[in-house]
Formats: sequence, C-alpha cells, structure tokens
Amino acid sequence: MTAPVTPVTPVLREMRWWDIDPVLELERDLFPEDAWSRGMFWSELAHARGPGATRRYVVAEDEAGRIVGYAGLASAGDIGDVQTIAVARDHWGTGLGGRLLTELLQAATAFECTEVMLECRVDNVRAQKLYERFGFEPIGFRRGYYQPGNVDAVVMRLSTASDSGSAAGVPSGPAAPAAPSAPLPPLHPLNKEPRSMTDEPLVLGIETSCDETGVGIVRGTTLLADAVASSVDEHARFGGVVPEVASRAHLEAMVPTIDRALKEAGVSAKDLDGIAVTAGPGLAGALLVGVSAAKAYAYALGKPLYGVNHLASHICVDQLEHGALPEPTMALLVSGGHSSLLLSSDITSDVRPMGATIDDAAGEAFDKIARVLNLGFPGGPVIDRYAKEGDPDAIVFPRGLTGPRDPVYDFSFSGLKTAVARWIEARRAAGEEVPVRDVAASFQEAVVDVLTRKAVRACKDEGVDHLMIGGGVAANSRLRALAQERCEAAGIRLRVPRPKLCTDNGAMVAALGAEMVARNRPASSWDLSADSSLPVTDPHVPGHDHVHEVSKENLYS
Amino acid sequence: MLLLALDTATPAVTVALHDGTDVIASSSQVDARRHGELLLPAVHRVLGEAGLTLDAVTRIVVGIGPGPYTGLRVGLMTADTFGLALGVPVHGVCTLDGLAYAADMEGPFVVATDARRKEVYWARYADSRTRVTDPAVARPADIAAQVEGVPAVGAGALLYPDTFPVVHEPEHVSAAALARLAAERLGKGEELPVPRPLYLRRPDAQVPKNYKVVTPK
Repeated sequence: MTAPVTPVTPVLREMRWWDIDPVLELERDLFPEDAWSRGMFWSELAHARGPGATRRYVVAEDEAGRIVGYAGLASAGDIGDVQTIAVARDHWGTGLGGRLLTELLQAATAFECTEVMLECRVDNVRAQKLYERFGFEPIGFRRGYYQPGNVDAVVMRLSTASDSGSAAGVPSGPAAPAAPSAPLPPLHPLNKEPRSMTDEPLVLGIETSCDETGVGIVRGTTLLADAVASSVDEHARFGGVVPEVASRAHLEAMVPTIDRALKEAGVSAKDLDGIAVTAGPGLAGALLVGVSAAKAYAYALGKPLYGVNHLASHICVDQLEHGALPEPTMALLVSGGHSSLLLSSDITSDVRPMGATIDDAAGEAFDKIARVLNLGFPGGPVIDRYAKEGDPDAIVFPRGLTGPRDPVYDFSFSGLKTAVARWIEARRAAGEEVPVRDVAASFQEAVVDVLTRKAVRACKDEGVDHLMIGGGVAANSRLRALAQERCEAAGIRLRVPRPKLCTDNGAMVAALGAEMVARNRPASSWDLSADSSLPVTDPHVPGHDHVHEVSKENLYS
Repeated sequence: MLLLALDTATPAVTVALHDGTDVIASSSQVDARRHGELLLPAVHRVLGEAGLTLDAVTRIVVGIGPGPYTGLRVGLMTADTFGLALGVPVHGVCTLDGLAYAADMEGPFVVATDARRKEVYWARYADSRTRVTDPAVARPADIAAQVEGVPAVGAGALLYPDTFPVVHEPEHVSAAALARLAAERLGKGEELPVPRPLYLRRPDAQVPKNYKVVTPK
C-alpha cells in the first residue's frame, strides 16, 4: 500500500453501471431542469462496451472515491457527439472539464470520427469558452432545445480530420445529426434523450411461471421498470412453492403490478409497441394467469402479443445490463427449476441445449439442504450467507457427473444432496454438533465448482469467448466469484446481471419481447396457450395465422 | 350501455354482449381443458358478430364461480385486465346464479356444477332469481337429505342421479344468461359482487412435518 505523495487530482476512469447512482445525484444538482433519467444512463452504458461499442463514458473520482465529474461521447458513423460533460461545483475552475473533454476527443479518435459535434446552452458561456479553446466552432442554433426552460442550444463542431471538406459529408446513420451546413431541424423530440432510445421498441413483459408476479417495461435494451410481487412468504411454511398458492397470488397481484410498472417507467400503455409474456416452461396454472392477462391487455390495447420462453428470457435479460448479447452466447441457467447450459446464436430464434441437470435443479438442491439444516425456505440466500463464514474445503462432497465417462455438460445434484444429508445425519446420530457454516460452504462449493467447470469447458469446446449466467442461483455470491475467477483464467468474458435481474422478473420477458419486435419476429395468436414444458429450443411461440392483423382495429384505429 | 359478459368457471367457455336491452351476440363452447386458448378468440368473434370493437364496451361482468380454479382464473384475469386497459367497471356474478336464471323455474330447486374429486358446487334457490344458501362444495351423498324432493339444474346434478334424480335444463352456464341477469340487477340499482374468485377450497398443501431422513435404518 503506497500513499500518493502529490496532491491527488481526480482520477479519470471508465464509467460503469455502479456509478449511475452518484452520477445521477450530480446530474440532478447540475441540471435540475432537464436531468437525464437513470434509464438514459443505463441505455448509454449499454452501448459502451464490447466489439460494437458506440459510446465512451468516463467519470472523475477524487481521492475519497467521490464522483466529481463525468462525460460521455456517442459515435455514429464518422461523427462523434458529446452527449454530456459535467463537473461538480467544488471542482469548477480546476481544469477538470478540459480533462474530461480531452478524454472524449481521444475516444472520438479511437472511434475514427472525423468530426465531433455538441450542443451547449446559449447562456452557458463558461462551457462555450472551454469548447472554443479546444477548437470547436459555433455552427448554428437549435431553438428551444433545452426543455422545460425553453433555452436554445448553440451547436458547435470540431473537425478532427486533416481534410475538413470530407467531414461535411452526409452522415451515415439515420440517427446521426443533420449535415452542419443545413438549417438545423429540431432533431430531438424527446429533449436531450439519447437519440438511440427513441426508435427502440417499448415493450411490457409479464412473468408468472413460478411464485413471482413480474411486470417489466423496457425500451430496446434499456430497463425502465421492474415491478415484482412475490408470494414466496406464503410458500415458506410449505418448504417449497405450492402451485395453487402461487396461481391465486398471481391473480390478485397482476393488475396492481402492471399499474406499478407503468408508473415506474413513466410511460402510457398506449405507447407500448408490444406485450410479451412467459408462455412456458413453468407451473401450468401459474403461467395461465400471466398468459390470460397478457392476451387481454394486448387485445384491449391493440398491440401485438409475444409468448416467449422463460429460459431464453433469463439469457436475454443481460441485454439490459451489458448491452446487446454477443452472438453466439454461452449461457449457464441455474434456478430452482432449471440447470442448463445453452448456446444461442440468436436469442429470438436459435437456442441450443448443450446440457442440463438429469435430476434436481441446482436451486432445488440449495432448498433441500437448507431444510436438512433447518434454515428455512428459500435455501439459496441463507446458505450463501452461512457459507461466507464457513470453510469450503472443510468437507469434500461429491462432484456429480464429473467422471471421465460422464456426460460432459450435464449436471446431477441429487447424489450430492443425499451425501450432504447423510453426513449431517451421521453427525446428529453421533450426538455431535453440525458445523452449519462449514457444511453450507462445502456444499455450495461442490455445486458451483461443477457448474463453473462445465460452463467454462463448454465455452472452450465451442470457441465461445464469453459466458452469461442467469437464473435465481446466479445471485449466489460464490458462483459469481468462482465463475469470474475461472473465466478470467480461461480468457472468457463473464456477463452476470445484477441479482434482481437474475431471479424471475417481468423485465427479462420484456427484454426478449423487445428483441422479438426489433427483429420482426411474428406475433403470437390470440389462442396462445401456456405450455408448462415449452422446449428451450422454442424461444417464442409464433402465431399460426393472421389473427393478429385485426387486433389493430380494436381500439385505437 | 354495452356489457361484455364472460364465464370460465365450468367446462363452458362462454361470452356474450348485452346492449342494455338484450343480448346482441354470444358464444359458448364446452371444453374443460382449453379455457385459456378459447376465451379471447371467442371475445373477438362475438365483437365481430355485433360489428363492434372492444373499446365500445362500458361494463364487464364475469362469472366468479365457484369452479375449478385454473379455468376460473382465466375469465377473472381476462375481465380484470380488460377493465384496467379500458378503464371500465368490472362486476362479478355467481356462476350458479347464472344457471338458476337460465333455468327460468318457479319454486324451490338446487343448482349443482361439477367440482371434481367426486364433489359438487351447489346452492339452493327459492326461484330463478333468489338464492337462499351460500354457494358450497360437498359430496353429493352428504347433501342428499338437503336436496331431497327438489329438482336440480346443471351438469353437476347429471353426474350424480342418486342424489339428483330430477334434472332440468340447462346443463351449462351461458354468458348470455349472466349478462341478462347482471343487466336486470344493475337496472334495479342492485350492487353486484366484486370480481373475486369463489374457490371454496383451500389449496392442497401439507405443511411438512420434517424432511425425509436419507440414512437407511
């Protein structure tokens, strides 16, 4: 540990999703009238990584870890656009704005932009001076660009190419700014909103395959709302999910949860581009409640309906966290109902099972062991908690299906469960105390060891350089840590959504629905049914006729 | 007024439109296992038959059972969601009341529908508009004394001729009857029940005593 000897200037580094909260705080302080929403930052960051990245966002962090500035650039074709630059008030006049801008211009060069554009409030003379120092020139105005204050923007341009003549060519993408010499039209109907967001499909997703009533709303790959009502407490005393209890709870919770999601997203139902729903696999009666609601909602609103696959949704949700899914994607899905390795080249049409559990799901094993240890239901979170204080090497429990002749990508957790129970029972029979923390840690280690080992092996065998982990068990801290470690060692990029998006939710269904809309997949028919054993190879349940076309006449024609 | 009525509490998947005067279109299909698939196309068909669209509907009436839960919920969830999307009120009507109304009988009788597991959902009526007992679920043999000597209505009665020797039409509930009954009651200023399901049974679930020990004894 070496302490810096010189006074620390804020350090610039890439902005990540966990910076959004402090950045939002600063944003609201600095731009109270037209602050960006959380969703806008999520959307921007979603395009900031990976081979097709079009954004560069940086934050300035002071020695205490406080975010004191941030900036972002978008590239569209050969034009870079400064999306935002912000510096905390107590760092004004320290040169931080200039450092942030320098960072963006370097990014513009890396994106091979030949010119960089920006808008600036006409009354922000300080900023304009800064931009002029860097060679930006005013080229026009946009009337009333900043709302609700109705302040005009001055549009400034910096030509970074040696031949500035070529830079004035027609922008390549439809989303790019207008050619600078033309009179500037009001380009941003959604005021300051990153322009990529406005064309992306707005989809509401409904999930009721197990005990969570989930309603989520996304715009493309941007999460706008994730409302979940869980009946888990009602199941706890039964030691597992009781299908009828879950179905009854879904019926009660559905309408209030839809309402909550719409409010959270701040959108109106009539603006939706589609309704997506989990058609399966899952508990038949529970699924049917969601499917009934989705069909009625879509029909009444005159919107297309997309019955989608629960497992594909668990994979697709990562688009809300880390941007577009790489193709192909290797996915390890682990939950109370599923443990599968899936390879997808297109999440809307091609999901191939590599392997799956031959008996219990991983999450089921956690629940059962928690019960043997008298830790209650659900078992995943509580075992994770106890395991943190235990020794994962204390007891060597068997690793299922890891022998040389065993199926390479399949899993088995039933034998492990029995082995752990026997070990505990032997202790109890001998009148000894059961070391709950060590048992939890050692059991958990056995599960995540096999899961990660096989997942990494599948990536290597298939030449896939990234792994996605989803499902409720992906919230397990040890699984996340070990997967990270092993992926790094194998040169594989790991993508795991935040825990709330790993467990069942409506946002994941909406995410897959939005992808269906974006890729022009056919909508489902009005006689869509719930399919408790929908194969993982069917990412969605397309319609078999054209019933849907009449739907548009329902309401808003 | 345009009232949309639907009922999925029994094997009948049934939809009707009532314009305040009478039923203008209706559909009934009997299929105990396809409520989810059949209901929405039926709504669409009925609206088409009447030359109307869903946004013209000003009230929704739904059969609240009692009935086997999975099918029952299809109608309720559909009605609730229509209500949300259209911003119109949703009322419930006891499914047995719909059957009694359609039977158009004077004098005491009982209505019985199939509750599966060798039981019936049933209630006793003084006449077609007047129910005198709460809907209940029972084994036919256990209520034989209570229903002795009165005629019965409904598919549940047909299943148990020992208990219900005299059975009148109709066998299945129709949304048309439900709509007429609801329109009549609303016309008189009566309040209809809230659209909440009558399950009449608790979910089948046992609280486990202990986990099953795996070590062989």
